Parts: sequence; C-alpha cells; structure tokens
Amino acid sequence: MDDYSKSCLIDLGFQWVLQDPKAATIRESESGNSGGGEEERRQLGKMIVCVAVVGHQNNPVFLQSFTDSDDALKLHHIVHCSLDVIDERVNNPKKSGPTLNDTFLGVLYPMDDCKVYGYLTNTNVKFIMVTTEIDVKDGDLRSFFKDLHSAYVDAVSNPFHIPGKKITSKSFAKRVSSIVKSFRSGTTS
Amino acid sequence: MAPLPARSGDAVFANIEHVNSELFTLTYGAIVRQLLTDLEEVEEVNKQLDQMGYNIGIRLIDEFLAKSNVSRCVDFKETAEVIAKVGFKMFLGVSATVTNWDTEGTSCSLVLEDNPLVDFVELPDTCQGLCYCNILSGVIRGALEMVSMKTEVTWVRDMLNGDDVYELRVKLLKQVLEEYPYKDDE
Repeated sequence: MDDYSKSCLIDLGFQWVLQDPKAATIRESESGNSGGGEEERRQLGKMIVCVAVVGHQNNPVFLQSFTDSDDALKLHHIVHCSLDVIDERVNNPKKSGPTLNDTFLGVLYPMDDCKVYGYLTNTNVKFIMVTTEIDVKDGDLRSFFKDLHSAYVDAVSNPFHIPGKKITSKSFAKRVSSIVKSFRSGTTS
Repeated sequence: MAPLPARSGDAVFANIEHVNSELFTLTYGAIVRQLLTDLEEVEEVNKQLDQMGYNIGIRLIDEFLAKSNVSRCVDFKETAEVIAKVGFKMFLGVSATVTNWDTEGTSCSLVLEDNPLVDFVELPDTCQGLCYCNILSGVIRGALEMVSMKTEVTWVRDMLNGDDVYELRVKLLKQVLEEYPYKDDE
C-alpha cells in the first residue's frame, strides 16, 4: 500500500478501508472464494475480482473483494473511478431511449486486464462488478445483477439496517459469495 | 382429533381476508425498532412487546372464536392443538406443532418452523437478548386469559439467536372459573 494511493482514497472518502486493514483479508476468508496462492490465480484467470454496492450519495455500502488483499486497494480505487463513468452515462444518455428501469449499464471501463460492469437501480443505488473474465455473456451478467439486486433488497429490509450505512449483514455477504460462485461456475463450464 | 383442527384451520385461512406479508413484516420491524429507540433497554422492550401482545390477545380472542367456529375445548391439550393449528394459521398463515407435553398435561411446547414476523431480520450484536417475537407470547397469554385460563408463555428457542426453530413454552397456571360479579345477598 503506497502512500499516494492511501492519500487518494482518504480524499475520496474511503477512509473506512484504511482504518481496518485486516477487513479485506477477513472478508476474503469468510467468502471462501479467495484466490489462494499464485498457482490458483493463474489457473482461475477469469473470475470476478470484486463486487461493490454504492449508495445514492456515492457512499460505499458494501464492498467485497475475492482476491488477495494486496489488490484490494487498487480495486477500491477502480470502483470509485467507475462511479464517475456512471455519472457521465446517467447525465448524458447517448441513445435517445435507454431502458427506463433497472438500467444495466454494461461495460463501464475496459482496462488492460479486467472489466468493470455497472448496474443502476431506480433509487440510484449502484452495483459495480470488476471481473477479469474476457468474454461474458450479456444474459449472464443481467441475471447476476438481478440476483444481486434481490439480495440487496432483502438485506435492506432488515429493520436493524440503517439506510445509508454499510450493510453488516453476514447473510448478505454469504449470498453475494454464492451468487459470485454460481456465476463463475456458470461461465467457466 | 388432530386432523380436524388442521383442516378447519386451512378452511378458515382460505376464507379470511389476507394482507401482504411483507407489509406485515416491515410494520412489525418498524415497531420493534421504534421501541428500541424509545426505551433503549432490551428487557424493557421485551416487556413492552409482551404487554402489547396481551392487549392484542384480549381482543383477538373474540374475533378468533367468531370466525373460526371451533367448539368448546374439553381440556388444555385440545386448547393447545386449536391454538397451534387454527389460531396460528388464521392470523399468521403458518401452523405450529404441539410437542413436549409434561406428565400432568398442563405444559406444552408450540414449535414454529416458519415465522413471517422475522423475514429479513438479523439481530445486531447490540440487541442480544431481545425476544423479537415476544408479541406472540403476549397474544397467547391475553387470549387464554379471556377464556378463563391463566398461563405463562415463554420463548425457549429462537431462530434469530441461532436455533433451528421457534419454540414457545405454554404453561397453564390455573383455570379461573367465572365468578358471578354480584353478591347473593344484594
């Protein structure tokens, strides 16, 4: 973790990531989906690297990375940058008639080794997914985000959840992990 | 005897008005959250939920008897069966099972596998010890008191605390025979 990245993230409001540096590793071990050693990463070259849920005020609500913790900071940075892309798309619709509800935003940000996909709900809650998968079918992506959306709705219906605060529900984290696992097994088969 | 209450429970449930279960769940969740904010103490909230349930129960028993057409129960065993199969089915949409009778037949367990009140709920660490469904124990206690049975209802197992089912222990304390309110010599 270099200092420049740290200062960038603090400026962008991602302080909570740095306050508990063990958070990424703890989540990684809970999800049971960790990249493991170097060999596994080479074998599982195509996989979902991180899933994030961002609230309507661009506040991070949920972030789970599925690789080694060294990349976690970079992933959070990527997620935050992709928020800008979403704002651009929302404010300047390219085509005259984009789908009005549950806008699936598609590829937000193709980078050298991974792609970022976004999904926007009517309440301006954004789901962002970073994956190293090169060729992903549209239908798979849409169903992935739909499953994520319904898991999110169930988590938010918890009366003890404070809207706008981070989702602390363990069952939501488990559901996200299982959705990610089924997405991986669906596309790698 | 067992199949008869079950069938009539389903029949009553089919004829009665229904409400959206998510609306019901979210409303109950809002009540519990508000109580926690107002009272701040978990024990106080449990007591308040029980009291609210009691107030509901004393009124609910009339509706139950009017709509369900059950005949007079012969003993406490039958009462428990009717509560589990007809009462729970009518008002919550799920039926419970009656188990663990003690030797005298005055104490039993009502086991609920599915509880619509707790959909989507996860108790945070600050609220350990909260009996989230305590309103149900109050309802049963209030309803039975109106039919001359003094009972004590407690929660034995709670899924929100990690158990596999919900279990309520209902204990009959005494049967209060109806007293004539007027004295004979007046």
